[in-house]
Amino acid sequence: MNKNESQIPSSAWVLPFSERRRLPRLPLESPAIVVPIRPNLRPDWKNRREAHCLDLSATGLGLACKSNDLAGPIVVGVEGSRVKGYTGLELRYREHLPGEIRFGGAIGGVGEAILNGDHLSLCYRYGPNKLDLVFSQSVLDAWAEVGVLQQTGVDLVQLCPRCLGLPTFRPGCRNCGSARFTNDQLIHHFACAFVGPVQDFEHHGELRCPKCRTRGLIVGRDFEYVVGPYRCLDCHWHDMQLEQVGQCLQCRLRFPVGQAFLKEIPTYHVDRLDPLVVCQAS
Amino acid sequence: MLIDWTHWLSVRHPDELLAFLWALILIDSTRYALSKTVMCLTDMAGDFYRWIRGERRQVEFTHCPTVCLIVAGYNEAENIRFTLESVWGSYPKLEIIVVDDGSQDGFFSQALQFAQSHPGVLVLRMPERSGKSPALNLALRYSRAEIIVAMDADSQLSENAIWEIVQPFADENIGVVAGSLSVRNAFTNLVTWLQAYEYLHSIFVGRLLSARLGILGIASGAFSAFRRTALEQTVGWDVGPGEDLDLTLRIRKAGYEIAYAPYAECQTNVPTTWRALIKQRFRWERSGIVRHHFRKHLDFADWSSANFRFGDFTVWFDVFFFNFLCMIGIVVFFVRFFLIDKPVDWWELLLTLYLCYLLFELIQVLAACIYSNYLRRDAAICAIFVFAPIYQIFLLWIRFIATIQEALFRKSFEDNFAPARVRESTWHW
Ligand SMILES: [Zn+2]
Ligand SMILES: [Zn+2]
Ligand SMILES: [Zn+2]
Repeated sequence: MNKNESQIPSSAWVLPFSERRRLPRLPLESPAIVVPIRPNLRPDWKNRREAHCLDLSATGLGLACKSNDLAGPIVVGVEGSRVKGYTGLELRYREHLPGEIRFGGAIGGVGEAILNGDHLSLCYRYGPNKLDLVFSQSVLDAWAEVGVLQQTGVDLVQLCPRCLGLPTFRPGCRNCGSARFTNDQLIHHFACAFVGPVQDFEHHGELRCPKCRTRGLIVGRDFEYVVGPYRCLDCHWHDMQLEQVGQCLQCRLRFPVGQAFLKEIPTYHVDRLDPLVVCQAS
Repeated sequence: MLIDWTHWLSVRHPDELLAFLWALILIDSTRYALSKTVMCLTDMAGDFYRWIRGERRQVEFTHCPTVCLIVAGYNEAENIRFTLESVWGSYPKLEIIVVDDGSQDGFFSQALQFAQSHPGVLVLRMPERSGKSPALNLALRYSRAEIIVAMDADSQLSENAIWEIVQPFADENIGVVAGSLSVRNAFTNLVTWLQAYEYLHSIFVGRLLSARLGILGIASGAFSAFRRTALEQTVGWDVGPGEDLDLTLRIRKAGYEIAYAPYAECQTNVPTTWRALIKQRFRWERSGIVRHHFRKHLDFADWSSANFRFGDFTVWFDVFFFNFLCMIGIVVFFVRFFLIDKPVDWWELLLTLYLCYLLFELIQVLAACIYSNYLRRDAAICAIFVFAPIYQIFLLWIRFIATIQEALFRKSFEDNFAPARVRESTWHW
């Protein structure tokens, strides 16, 4: 989530497109910077253009520039008295006037995808079953380098050591990783020191010690219950404690949590240009 | 004083001396000093014979069954790591089960920590302190090995101890193998030194002799090994104290033999104060002869029983005669000597007795040194032997009082070795 969005509940980014369309278009005088996006999604910083805003709506932006040979998606940064931030723009029209070129477009496209707050931190991707950034870290770093994004922190994820897929974690057998285990309920008969499972004591509806054959045992006076160790139903391993076991959802590998591949994933922040704020303020 | 004594001795007729010393020479020395001498000489002759034939005596371990080592302890958080480190990896087919008998000092977490980094270690826990026997029985349930080795959590095993203790099991008739105990804190003070000498004398060599004579009747709880089938037949340990003695006798009753592995050495810390020593010995003695040989296992001496075996009877008789009758005899002797006879030459007589005893003690010291693997250490321990007779008398009085207490009041069933709920519930043999 983008910080600005979360601070302003009536943000444009939460409204459906049809509602955003109904909001008025406003004239706006603010300097802007236009950054073209390269095919490899990195910013084409060398070819950036100074521009200024003409008008703004919740769905689009109009700009004016001295020269414009732009084509394809761009990212526009605006900084004025009432408005500040970056947005992605898909060019829709271009108008040559004496001394300047006017152009405009709809908020969206690749630039919007890159700046989307959901894409700037850890994100689960269904297809490849990965916990990772949507865009590669190098792309986001390139945007951070030119100042559009800021790196704000690092997330740590535990991944499958074999395929780097996403695992689930649960308690399981230390030997084979199985989640099928039980506990033995044992009885300690005080008089003869015998310790055995409850079912060995059950005899015609009463408790009888299989070692010394004392009958009618009463809990507390004659015996106490003892919880035995966990017993794995798959490999017959015994242990008082279970291990946290990871199981990869992709390649099915079972591994102790200590063997998980630890991956550091940075998170980013962007100041978003929020047209709704401008629209409502006017 | 010594001149006085030599003078006194020179005017004595040998018959007079013999009349005073006959019991020591005929009974005590035959059972202990002379038989050890015979054993030593036989072994040395055997060694000499092999040496002449050019055969080298080499240590070779040929029997390698699966082993489960059970370490039961209560509030031993300090020691458990060292104990486990001394055994882990010392034998190829070894599983280790640590049982925490409801400790309150982090014993369980220490053991768990060790288990997490060392595969093959299972840590179990009793919910409350229950005594050693149920803890061992709990572990027995989760062990799978052919041979079960039980040891204390405050002890450490010497190199190859597990290899040594499993070798006798190659013989199918062996149900229990007793390990040897040595004192780790031997030179802390006089108390521990005397105990170290006692262990060397009565456990290291004493049990070697008993085992040769086929009358070994105890495998110490601190370190002994059991055949799994024998333990299953006797359904594990009974309520202690004295559970080690009891189990050994029950396994004997089940038809198995007891062996001794003198070089399977377990090092243990002994009490460092007289007070603690007296307390420990009262516990041992109360749960010894009267409770087990005279009450619970009196059937060893029952000639009319269908299960009667002469071998078992000799085990029982050895304890009855040398630990009980001789004790009574010595007590009677002292009472008569000091209270009734009151001879004028009392100190000369006692000195003669003492020196005579010392002579036999010296023979046993030599035996210990001949069999010792650590000659330098054991020779140093033996240097205390001049005090041994006095120490033996001290222990004898403890045994005498403890035996009377047990015979009259069943004191061993008040011992905090087992918690109250267990003591109150069990049969007071
Ligand atoms: Zn398992
Ligand atoms: Zn019972
Ligand atoms: Zn995987």
